[in-house]
Amino acid sequence: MKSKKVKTSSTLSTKEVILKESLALINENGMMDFRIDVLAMALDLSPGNITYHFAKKEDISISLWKQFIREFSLVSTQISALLDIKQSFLVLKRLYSIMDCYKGVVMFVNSNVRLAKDPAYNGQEMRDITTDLFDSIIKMLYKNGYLNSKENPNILCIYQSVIMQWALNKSVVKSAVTSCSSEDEINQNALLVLFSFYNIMNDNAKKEYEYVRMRVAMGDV
Amino acid sequence: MSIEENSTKLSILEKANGIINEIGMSDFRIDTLSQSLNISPGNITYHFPKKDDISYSLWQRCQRDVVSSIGSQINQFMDIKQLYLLFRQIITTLYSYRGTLNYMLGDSGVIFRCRRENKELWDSIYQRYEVIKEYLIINKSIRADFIGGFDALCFESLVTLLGWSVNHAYTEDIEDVNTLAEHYALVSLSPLLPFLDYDGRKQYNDILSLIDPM
Repeated sequence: MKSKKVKTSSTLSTKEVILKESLALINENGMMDFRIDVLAMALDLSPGNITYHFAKKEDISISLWKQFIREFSLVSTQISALLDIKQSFLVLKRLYSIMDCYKGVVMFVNSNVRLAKDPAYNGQEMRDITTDLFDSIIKMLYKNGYLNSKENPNILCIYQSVIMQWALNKSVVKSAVTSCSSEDEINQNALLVLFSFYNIMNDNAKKEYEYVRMRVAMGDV
Repeated sequence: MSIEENSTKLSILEKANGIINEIGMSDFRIDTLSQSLNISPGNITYHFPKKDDISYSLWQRCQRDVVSSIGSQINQFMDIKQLYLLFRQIITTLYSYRGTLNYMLGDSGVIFRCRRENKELWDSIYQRYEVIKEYLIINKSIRADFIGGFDALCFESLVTLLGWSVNHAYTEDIEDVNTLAEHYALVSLSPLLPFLDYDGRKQYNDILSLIDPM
């Protein structure tokens, strides 16, 4: 049996359609409630059609995680020699937009004790990409005269790393209790990560940061 | 409920908490729990019809413990040292419920199912944060200009750092709870660093000289 959705999405392969629909379901209902049979019904496919491509639901989340890592790793290409505080905000905003697109999977992987070191997911890859990205941002901002020091103390590195990885979870909790929009939370999280550099920013950078913060508060970004 | 029933319920929760901390919520099963307690599965389902009821009860206990530690440690002499000790206590409590914490705050479906309860927790923590902040300003630990636009950023940074430090500790192989709580309590003070007043900065440096910052 061929799926209605597969027919309508002629440019996508069955495997890609399965991944796309899975991501929508996982983002909405979380990984714990995600089931192959529900996915099959949503796609109008037989469960066998899905298990032919993905033997179990975890194989789907592994594929989505790898897709996420590919997109996530490309963000560093947006750092140029002209980097300032406003552009740093935009780079971080891009980072959080990607995390938001994959939020169900990212939250699942980052909050699961068992997966923290599972080679199938390689959670370390996300941490390495983030560390490299922060290093590049700090070096460039220092070079362009925005930071007092190019040394990022270890305590601040851990602070940035925790905020970077789990502000997404905080956002989902916050949007559940305050009904704020995804877009607001993407902006807020980009600001939150940049705020972790505030301690080493010079007055010029603090002024730019304040400008970006005001624009975010006015909903004008 | 009789005393005996109450104590069975408590034993179930304590054992379940240990297992969930060890293997995580997705691999946790009622039958494994009943075997380790040496009681029938029916004895468990009488108190908790499904495994989600167990994690929900544990989550309520965790919230109660966190909110009561904050409540019991707030006082008019609040300064950076006391804030550090409060953070240390919160992280220790969260660590003791780490499996449940990861499940309740790591899955969008679960988060939206528990929206009402999480709202109560969020509001209650925010109210206590406001009180702590006022005392810190009065006691010259943080500057009054902190109130500006940085309030929301500090609050959300603190919530994220305290709530998910335990996850970061897994990635760093830190298993000793005292080391973990000491280090991450220190890291959790970081959002306040730009706003520390003279006394606050001195206290922060004292803590830094006593605690290995990793």
